[in-house]
Amino acid sequence: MRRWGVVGLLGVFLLMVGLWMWPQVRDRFFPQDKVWEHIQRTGRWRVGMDPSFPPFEMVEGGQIVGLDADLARAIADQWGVQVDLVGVGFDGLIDAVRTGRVDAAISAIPYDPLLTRDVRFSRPYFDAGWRVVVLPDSAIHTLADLAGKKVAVEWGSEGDMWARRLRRKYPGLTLVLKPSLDEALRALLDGEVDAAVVDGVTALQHAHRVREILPPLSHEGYVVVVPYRAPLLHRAVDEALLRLEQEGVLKALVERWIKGEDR
Amino acid sequence: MRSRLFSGILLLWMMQYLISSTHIPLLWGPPRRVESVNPKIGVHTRLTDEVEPWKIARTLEMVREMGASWIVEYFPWGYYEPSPGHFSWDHADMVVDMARHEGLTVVARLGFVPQWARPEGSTPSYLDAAHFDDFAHYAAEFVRHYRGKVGYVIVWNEPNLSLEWGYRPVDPVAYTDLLCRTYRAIKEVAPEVQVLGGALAPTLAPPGSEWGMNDVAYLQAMYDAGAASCFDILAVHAYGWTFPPDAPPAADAINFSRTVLLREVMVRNRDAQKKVMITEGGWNDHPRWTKAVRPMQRVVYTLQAYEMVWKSWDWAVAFCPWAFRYPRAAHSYQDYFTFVTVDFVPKPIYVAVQAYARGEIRPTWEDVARLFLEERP
Repeated sequence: MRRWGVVGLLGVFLLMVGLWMWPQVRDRFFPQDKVWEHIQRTGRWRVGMDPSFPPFEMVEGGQIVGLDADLARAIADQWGVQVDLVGVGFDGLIDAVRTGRVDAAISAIPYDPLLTRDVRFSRPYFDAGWRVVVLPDSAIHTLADLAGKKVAVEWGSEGDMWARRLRRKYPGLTLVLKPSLDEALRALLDGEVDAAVVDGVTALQHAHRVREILPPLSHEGYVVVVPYRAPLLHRAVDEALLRLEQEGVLKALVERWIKGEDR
Repeated sequence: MRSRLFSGILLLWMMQYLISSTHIPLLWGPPRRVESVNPKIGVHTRLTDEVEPWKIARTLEMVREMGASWIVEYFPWGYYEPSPGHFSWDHADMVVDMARHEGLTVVARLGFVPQWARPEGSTPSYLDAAHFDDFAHYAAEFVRHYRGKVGYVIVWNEPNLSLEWGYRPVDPVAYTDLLCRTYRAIKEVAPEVQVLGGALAPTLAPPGSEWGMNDVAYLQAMYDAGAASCFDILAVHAYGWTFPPDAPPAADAINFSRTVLLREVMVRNRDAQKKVMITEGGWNDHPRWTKAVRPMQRVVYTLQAYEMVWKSWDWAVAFCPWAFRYPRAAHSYQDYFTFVTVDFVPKPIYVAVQAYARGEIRPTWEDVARLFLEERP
């Protein structure tokens, strides 16, 4: 009699564990995704973006254009569907995805570890973090080589903050403050300084005439955001991004929208 | 023997109290006072999600040291009434007590609907009419709890944006209903508390837009719905985007002086005796965002805006730009609104506002340039 009681308790325990684990098991082995089904059924993918952030998204001739707009189209092409770009303020993008106003958001959005229970994030497709650049023939090869050197920054910028941290670490580093990123870079190209601190986009724009010192000072990985209830869409986006990377499409988009800006 | 045991227990209790108490040890010392030549300097803080007491204390200390007398802070309903009728004010107590200790005037922004008051899958800005009285009840309990400590309350945030209205079409009549119910509930408990309405987002959304409604039109619609008797001060969000603070107001432009257009709506509706408080706004200095300016411009524009609100806008109570510091980095252009970094490094704008508040510099390009050359060799 007592043995049956133990078996019963064990059964109840296993049942509770099963119920608790069921959502994870279901998502892993029998994923359901009405968002993905809807995209495939209608042949349209509704993507939100805030077109105020060139070269990733901006309005030209009444149309949203930019790297992110082309990236959305390239992903949609992989699936054989049309993309509808929807202008949404940056502050509202995550909620727009959560509430189903759009199927995804692609808008230079950084990965946010605190939102991973609200939405799903793709693999990063671009890193806009801050970095140190030097002239190609410079003797500076590591961040430690900056000791005693002159470094140009845009005054008051995030790069300025990073440079001040470097100054604490590498004595003798002198900050040369410039009113804009372009002028900081110009100071480097003109030989006024030994290095400049710039963001990832600026570094790429001038990649043909400056060299980046690794590692970057910070990482700002931009990702695609999809609803949490859309595991299949999430997987499809990641697979599409991987394919676009392997096929060189992503690189071509960066060449077109970022490196092309300076040429 | 018994007294030694009693002393031991008392000591243990005191130690446990000090360890578990979140903020009392940080309030040691006499109350502080803000020293500033401009009494209208304020700033919007972001302490809602700041967990560590020392960071809250440090934030408010730095706000005072900058010379700001006002803070706008968010007190989410969902955090403080997690189930109907059950209130938990611990975190809010910490923020309010520490702010008062620093000599700051707290303006409380109320919003964020708890899960129990909205449908599953909705956002925290979704509140239907059936729960308006629940929100009003929360507001009343808030002012009851903080009577004598918090004298200003903002009802909701940017209701003219769909995203701030639960992703439904915006509805100035419904918002006015919410405002009026909340106003009455607050006044029944604490008639001296000043209720701020509006807090509208500056937007040029065309009529019928699914994303929002023009703020000037929305305010008129509020008046048409009877809002005049339901607020004491109009809360305004005044973002400058790429324009200087003295750029003239225009119906088709978003700039700092758009505040004047909202003021004109008040005057047209015979509500001129009421004041305005700018509870969000300012400039951003991201290198790439199209609505941003350069860091130096941001500094000068911000100082000039403080000066303008103080000396030229006698109908404005304070200017509280967005935002002093984030508890964590957003890693996007939003980080470029802040005055200090996540790890409390003062940005040049902080240094400049501090110098201005101390009367050391005027809000001019020359003075700011001089400060920056002297302060940052």
